[in-house]
Amino acid sequence: MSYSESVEQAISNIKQQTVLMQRSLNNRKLMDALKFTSTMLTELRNPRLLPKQYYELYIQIFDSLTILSAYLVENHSNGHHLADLYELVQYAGNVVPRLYLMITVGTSYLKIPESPREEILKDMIEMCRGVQNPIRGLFLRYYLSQRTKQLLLPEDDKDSIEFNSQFIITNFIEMNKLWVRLQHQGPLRERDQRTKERKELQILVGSQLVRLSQVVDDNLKLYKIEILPILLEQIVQCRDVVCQEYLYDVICQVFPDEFHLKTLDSLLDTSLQLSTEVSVTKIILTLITRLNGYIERVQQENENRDESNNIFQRFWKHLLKLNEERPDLSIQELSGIILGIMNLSLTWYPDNIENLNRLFSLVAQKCKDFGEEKTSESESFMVDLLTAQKLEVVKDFPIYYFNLITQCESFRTLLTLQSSSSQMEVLTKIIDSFLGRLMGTKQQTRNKDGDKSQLLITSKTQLERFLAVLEPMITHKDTKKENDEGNDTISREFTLSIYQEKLTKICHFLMLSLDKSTFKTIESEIELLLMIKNVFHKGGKNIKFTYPAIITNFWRMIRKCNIYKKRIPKKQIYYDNLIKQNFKYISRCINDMFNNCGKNSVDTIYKLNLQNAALADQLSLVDISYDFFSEAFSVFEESLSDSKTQFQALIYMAQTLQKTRSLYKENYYNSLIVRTTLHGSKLLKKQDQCRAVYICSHLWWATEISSVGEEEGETTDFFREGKRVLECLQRSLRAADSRMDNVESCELMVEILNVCLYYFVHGDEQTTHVGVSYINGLIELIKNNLKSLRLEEEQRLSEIDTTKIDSDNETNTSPYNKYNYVMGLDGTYIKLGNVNNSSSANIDFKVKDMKINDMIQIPIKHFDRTCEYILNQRDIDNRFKTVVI
Amino acid sequence: MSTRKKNILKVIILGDSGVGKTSLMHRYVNDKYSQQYKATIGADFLTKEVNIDSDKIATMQVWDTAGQERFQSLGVAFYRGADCCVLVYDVTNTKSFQNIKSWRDEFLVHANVSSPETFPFVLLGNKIDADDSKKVVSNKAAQDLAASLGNIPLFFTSAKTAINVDTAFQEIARSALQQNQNDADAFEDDFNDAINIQLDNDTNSCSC
Repeated sequence: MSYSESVEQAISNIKQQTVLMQRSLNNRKLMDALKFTSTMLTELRNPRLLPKQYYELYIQIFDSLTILSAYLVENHSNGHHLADLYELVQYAGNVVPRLYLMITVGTSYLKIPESPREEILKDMIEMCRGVQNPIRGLFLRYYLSQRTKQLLLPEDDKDSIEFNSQFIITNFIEMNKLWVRLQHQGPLRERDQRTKERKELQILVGSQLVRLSQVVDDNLKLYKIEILPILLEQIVQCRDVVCQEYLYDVICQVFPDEFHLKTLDSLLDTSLQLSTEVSVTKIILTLITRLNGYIERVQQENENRDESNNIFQRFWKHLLKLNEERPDLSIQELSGIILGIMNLSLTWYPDNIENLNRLFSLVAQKCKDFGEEKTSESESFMVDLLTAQKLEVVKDFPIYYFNLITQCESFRTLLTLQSSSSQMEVLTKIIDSFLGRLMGTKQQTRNKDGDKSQLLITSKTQLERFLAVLEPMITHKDTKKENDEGNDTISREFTLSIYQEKLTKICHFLMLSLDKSTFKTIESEIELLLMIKNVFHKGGKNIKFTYPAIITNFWRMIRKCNIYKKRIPKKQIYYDNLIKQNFKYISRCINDMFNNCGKNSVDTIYKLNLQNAALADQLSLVDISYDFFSEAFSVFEESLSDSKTQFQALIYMAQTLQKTRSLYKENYYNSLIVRTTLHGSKLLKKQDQCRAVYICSHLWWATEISSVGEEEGETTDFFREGKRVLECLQRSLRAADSRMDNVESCELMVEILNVCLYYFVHGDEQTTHVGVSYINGLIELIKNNLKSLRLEEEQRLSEIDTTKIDSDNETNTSPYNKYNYVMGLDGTYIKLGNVNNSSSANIDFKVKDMKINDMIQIPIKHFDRTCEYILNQRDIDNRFKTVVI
Repeated sequence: MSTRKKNILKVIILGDSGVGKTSLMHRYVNDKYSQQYKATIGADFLTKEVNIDSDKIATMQVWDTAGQERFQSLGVAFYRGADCCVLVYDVTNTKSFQNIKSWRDEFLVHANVSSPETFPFVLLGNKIDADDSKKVVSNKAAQDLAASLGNIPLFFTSAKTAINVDTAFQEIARSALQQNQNDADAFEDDFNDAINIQLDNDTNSCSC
């Protein structure tokens, strides 16, 4: 008898033989049935079958033999005694079919109550030695194991359990030998192919361990004493990489995690005896995953966990041994294992930082040993290790980084050993996690027990350590641009450093994380803020970005003092002094910024001065406020040279001054606003002068600040001087008139008209000095100017009409763009999208595609809108009827 | 009419790793449950004698499979010849529910069944004993899925507390028996001719 040429033929042959076998059985012709069975079994003798093909045929045959077996059991007492049949099938010619038949008959016999089970089982497993070809042998033994599965000795006494496990172990050992032997068969060049085949066949061997696990059930003693030592011995002795990696993995997977806890020593020791080609990392990680799974399960079921063994300690010892015995291990491999052990420690002993400290210090030592030979790969491993970002457990464990930073000395040591870019990467991740936490605090406290997810700084030392860890980022230098002089100064001024931005955020985070029960007084808070300031100071030029955050926090302190001051009148002087002290700190900060950052920070410094002035004014600290204003002026005069910046700076000044209330005494206010207006009138460009001055006019016309209780119509002591207002407007109008560009000149006049209308609405003629006649005069002037503009426009339109004929494509184009333009207060052009859809606006100093007619439209339309407003006002304010349009 | 006295029904249990396939099988066959998690390697079966509709007896072969692909190195040839396929998800695990469809597709691709449209599937939502707070797959979603897969039977089970396991497997056995008999009839019809040819060949080869 021979096997088919192809797998397809084999499959159809097996099908046919199965039908024939079934028919014979139906006709009770057992001998025929056995003959057909034997024929189909011949297919399993084909040496050219690949493992997967063999498996396919095997499955098909298995199903057919199941039918046969069912018949045999049913007809045992019907003339076909299974003991006789067992003898009979021994006469089949070929060894593979013979043994399959034998096992089929033998296992059918096992189902008969009075059969000599032990004898049959022993005989079958003994006979299987007859097949020594690896693939055939493996499948045959797999068949034996599948068939005997529910038919081993009844597991009611110790002896039979032992017999059963021994039976499976024997089968396993033989299978393992066959499996390993396959690697060494055939020519060397087919080695890779054989490795691939072996990996496919591995589940046949692995399934034996599954069987063992079922027999062992929860009998730890049996496992620990009788089974595991034999399995591990097999694994070590075979010296085969594929086998060692696979079987170690399977042992971890198929036996209960509790067993691993109890046999950790032998598992770990064995891992040291494996071939050096075996990935130790993979093996240890598998084990750790299982042990962590135990904790998860125990927590879920609220069971008591097994504490008898300090498993971190056990892994730590193992790590040291590994480090000693395997100097060949790369830092990558080692850090992979260490990351695993970290995971273990965090899962089992989440509060134990000392464990992590030991691990980090070991890695730090390793890093020092390896010296400069850093690769980008090992760098990224270190980042993984330091951030632990790949560990699921860190995500549910908010204070992990916090504890790490504040308690784990060697974390910082290891961090400082890394390259600058790695350090930044690690710190960024850590800071982000805090900031993310900060955003989500409310939700968290609601969900979990609040005190654990809250990160609180409870001592100065903690803050010191925190800041020490951040130091690389604080002193980080952007290597790309370092030269202070040069043309890129302006562009640099606007470039925000992402790292410095993070630091400012973390500054706020830290100040919000102070434990209120430790830091009860404002003074103690200020002390910590100064600590942060001093560390930030090490950043040199970086303080340009970081100090504003410090200053903001000083403001917070000042506000707090002010509240306490009102609440505890006794301590008024104390708090007054404290407030002054804070302003001094702020002044120092600003000075530091000026000295360290020079030109790059003047804009910021100017604004900070004004903000401080405003705050001091609100607290009625007149002199302090005046000082800050003066500072701002000197920055303006000495350092702000760009005309655009100057204009903006003056507007900001005017805005701030207009809201002050305490500076009227000592004539401070008056001198400040005169100075501001004077600067406005001296700006480089006429249009800037014009706008700055009409804006400054408001400085003589205070308006209500409702938050301090002022109310228009009720409050009588507003600072208002109509004469000065008019003077400003006149000055402004002169500047507008002297502007040569008549389009812009017109636009400026319309703007002044609008300001005039504001005063007209808000006060009577006597107080504002802006009366109907003045307004009418201005309208007349604008009209005249617009007339000449329109004339100019018509001239152009006729030109366009003649050129239009040439271009067919543009027949529909109006002389105007489809956009609407208006002019912003700072002279920028604002493109309002198309007329139908005015939702989008574009701001630019120069609009390239703007046509001259669009420009003319700007003052015309602005004037139209103003006129429309006047018309509308006539309904509610009779005075407007006297305004002539 | 089937000529076999006692049917052997092959049932395959599929689903993601950890949904409780092994536990369901053990609960059904041995009425046992263990809290321990042990991964399944390859495919393994247990058999149980079943009584269907109190008059038919069959041997049910319940094949438990590895949810993790790496433990299926020889492929899934054992899908062939299945009479019913049980799809299991974990009611506390959305992913396992989302994967049900792909498990079914994978089964149909490899099992080589005669008519995929009528092949019996049964859907089980396991771990129904879990805290309500942990349940993430709604009953409605499961019913919709069962309907979309061709109105297949759906059971909410717990291997741990034995809820619905027997009921579900009775249905599984019934579906499997039905499928088995349909197939057997078709098989008989199909192969009568083929066998005759083969017999002729046999005689030819003998006379050589």
